[in-house]
Amino acid sequence: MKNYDAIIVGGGIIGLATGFYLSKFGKKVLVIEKRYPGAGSTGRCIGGIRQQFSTSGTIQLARESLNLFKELEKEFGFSVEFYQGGYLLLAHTEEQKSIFLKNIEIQKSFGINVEFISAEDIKKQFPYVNTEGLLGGAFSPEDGQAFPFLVLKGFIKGITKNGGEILTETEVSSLIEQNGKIEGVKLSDGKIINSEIVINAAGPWAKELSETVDIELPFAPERHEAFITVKIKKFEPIIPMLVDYRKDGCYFNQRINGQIIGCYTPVPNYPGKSTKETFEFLYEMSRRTARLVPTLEKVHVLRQWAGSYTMTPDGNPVIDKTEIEGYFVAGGMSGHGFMLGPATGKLLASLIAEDKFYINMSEFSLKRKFQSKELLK
Amino acid sequence: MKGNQYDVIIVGAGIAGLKAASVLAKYDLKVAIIDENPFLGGQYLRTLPENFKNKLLKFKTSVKKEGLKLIDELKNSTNIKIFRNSTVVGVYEGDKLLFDREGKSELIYYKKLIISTGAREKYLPFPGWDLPGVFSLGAVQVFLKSNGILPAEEIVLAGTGPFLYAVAYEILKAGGKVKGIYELKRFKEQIAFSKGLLDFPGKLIEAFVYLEEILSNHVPIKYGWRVLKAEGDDSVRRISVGKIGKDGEVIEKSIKNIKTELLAIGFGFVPNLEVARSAGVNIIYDETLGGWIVNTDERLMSSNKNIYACGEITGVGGAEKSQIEGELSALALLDSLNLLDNSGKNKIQKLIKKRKKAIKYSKCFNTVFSVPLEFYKNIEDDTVICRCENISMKKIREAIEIGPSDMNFVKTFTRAGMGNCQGRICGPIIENIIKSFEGKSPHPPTMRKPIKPTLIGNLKKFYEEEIKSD
Repeated sequence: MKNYDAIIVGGGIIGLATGFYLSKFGKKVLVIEKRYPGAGSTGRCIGGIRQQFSTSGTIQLARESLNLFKELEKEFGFSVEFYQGGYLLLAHTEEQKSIFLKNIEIQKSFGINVEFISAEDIKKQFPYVNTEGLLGGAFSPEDGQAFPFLVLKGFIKGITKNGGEILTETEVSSLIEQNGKIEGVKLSDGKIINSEIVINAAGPWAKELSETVDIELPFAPERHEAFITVKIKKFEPIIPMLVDYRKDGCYFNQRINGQIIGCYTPVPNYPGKSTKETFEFLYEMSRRTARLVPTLEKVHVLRQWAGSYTMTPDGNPVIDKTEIEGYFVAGGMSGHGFMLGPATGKLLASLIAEDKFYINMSEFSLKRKFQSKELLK
Repeated sequence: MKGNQYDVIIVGAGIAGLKAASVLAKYDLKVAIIDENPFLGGQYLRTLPENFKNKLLKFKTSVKKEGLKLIDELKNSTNIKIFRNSTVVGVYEGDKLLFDREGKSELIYYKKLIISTGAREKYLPFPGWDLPGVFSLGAVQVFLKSNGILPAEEIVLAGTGPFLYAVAYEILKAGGKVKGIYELKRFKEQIAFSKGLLDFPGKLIEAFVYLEEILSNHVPIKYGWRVLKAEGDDSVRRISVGKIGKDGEVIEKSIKNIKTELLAIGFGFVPNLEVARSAGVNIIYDETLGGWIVNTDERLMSSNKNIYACGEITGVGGAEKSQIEGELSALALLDSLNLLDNSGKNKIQKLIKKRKKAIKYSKCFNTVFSVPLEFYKNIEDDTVICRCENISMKKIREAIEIGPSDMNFVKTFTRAGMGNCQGRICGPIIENIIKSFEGKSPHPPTMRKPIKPTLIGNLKKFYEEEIKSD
């Protein structure tokens, strides 16, 4: 049996980023994925990247992640289609506007380039946006997008190059613990693989996996749906991620290959791990998209699909060690796994390899009270 | 029952769908048949323009004759609603079927669904296969039958299977010239298929009629030959063909160049599973029946008791099998509604037996005319595999080397199959490439709705309609 310094359960952005940065510390890692890399939530996300959050911890994590995204092309030797087209969060009510103004103040204190712009300015800068009923929006030109599968590809290649391994079509059925220490994992075929470090990055399946060693994770998966259109001519400027915070809002942007990609947050939410797509989403998303950018009426939808958000009560992730020595958790990304993924992986790797976080991560502690709320979902 | 609600909706008006409709028409049921073509009959019965009719229709198989009769009956039937030019966008929960017709989206509801969406051609890529002037055999047929024109004066046909001869026959009848037929399989490999024909005299006669026309026109037929490449600046100007040696490699000195402006290729068929998969029914893999097919019981009921499948999607097998299955699925559906008398029930048993024979023949046929996997493994690095996203063999090979042998991984890793055709063309090719390297992909490629791209502007109206119906 080979010796692994760390076993990572889950081949999504979190598991692969953690594996990649750990392997850069010289650790021999094994990533175990039950289907194929990106088959879970990462491959179903829309690839948006932003720093506009409402708490200091998340803002810093997002900023670190953005900085890592900027470096990926150099690191991998190929483009991950990272592009800073911005995020424009729309305020249709005074209440929303005041939330944005408050957040902008916090965000600016961390050096983020973000401004509140009026509806008139939005009309000028993004003439395709329907500004009816709009009071303005929070815009950061630093936010952007990348293509999730290319990011995964880079991490996979890096892990392999650094001597790590990735097992696919392999399911972990339980974790193994002895006297308060983690010892490894048991696969669904009964095989055991040992390691002193095990990282649970199993996304929507993380909670059940953790229960096998009696560590409770406050994770609740829920279904979110998305669609993507055929490629169209690029808008001038390219459509930033428009986030409509109305109750029947939505968010979408134009990818640099010309496709429009977007989702909405269903009200009420749809709990569970179902990834069945619905007719309701197809027509609702169409209506909401065309309401914001009316010329998109003439565009064809190419694909629709659904995936899981793994939610925590306060909408922020858990990136922490646990009471079991050697057992770490990174999850409950609450819909921000892709954008926060590189930094989450790098920070967790530094915690494991050097026993410290290089930025304050108390907001992501497993022992926190989960009472606050992320305002910018 | 509201206007947009039906007892039975049949998707696909080819031989299978038509036969099912004709059975159901005799009962007091509200039935709709929906097809994306402007005419009924599918590819097999594709209607002919007047100027060609006399030339091409001298010879009709018995299945063709019956099919044409069914079309006439259906047109006059009052309890069957026909939706032509209608593309299914998706089957959704709540027994909803969304389709696009004449630039608009429409929603209809079913109690029972019969899916008979036929098959499409599959390909073996070679350098230049994506050039204009390289047609599928089916595309040549469309030109001939729907447009009433020959796509070129001289045509070279290559690939494998009897469809080569059917299309050659039609080109010759239409006054065109066939410069040569290059069949991948050696003559002796085809003997098993000829034996199978004895069970189906109709097919045997069909084969003789085609061969007679081909031979009397002195068309050269080469067995055990393949196309190596197609060349030309903006369109095909010449192709290279070569004889395949015993080791599977092309014999160097046999290679010759042929001038042609049109190369028609066909390497067999794969089922069109998009509608069935959008409805969420189970599929299984059977190489001898064309790859992934709908999993049904012997009465053609799918994993969903309200959904039946018939024709090519339960196994590629041709017109006779489709005819048997169209009738069988409709009768089984009627039986599930307790509408059948004893003679109907007996008919079901007879059809089940007939179907078994047809399946046996289909398996033999698909095995004889299968493309050897080495040919997929040896595709050159520069050859384009996914035409929509311009993904080469090199990229596919890289994905297979780095990750699991899963269709979906290759798709996401390379973007092959993410373009506008949604992997309809490259999907089966990649499936075979993976198989040639590492064994069968454990999962089929995921199927995403819409089945064909659909307009945002057309969909938003359903918001108001759903609000009203609440």
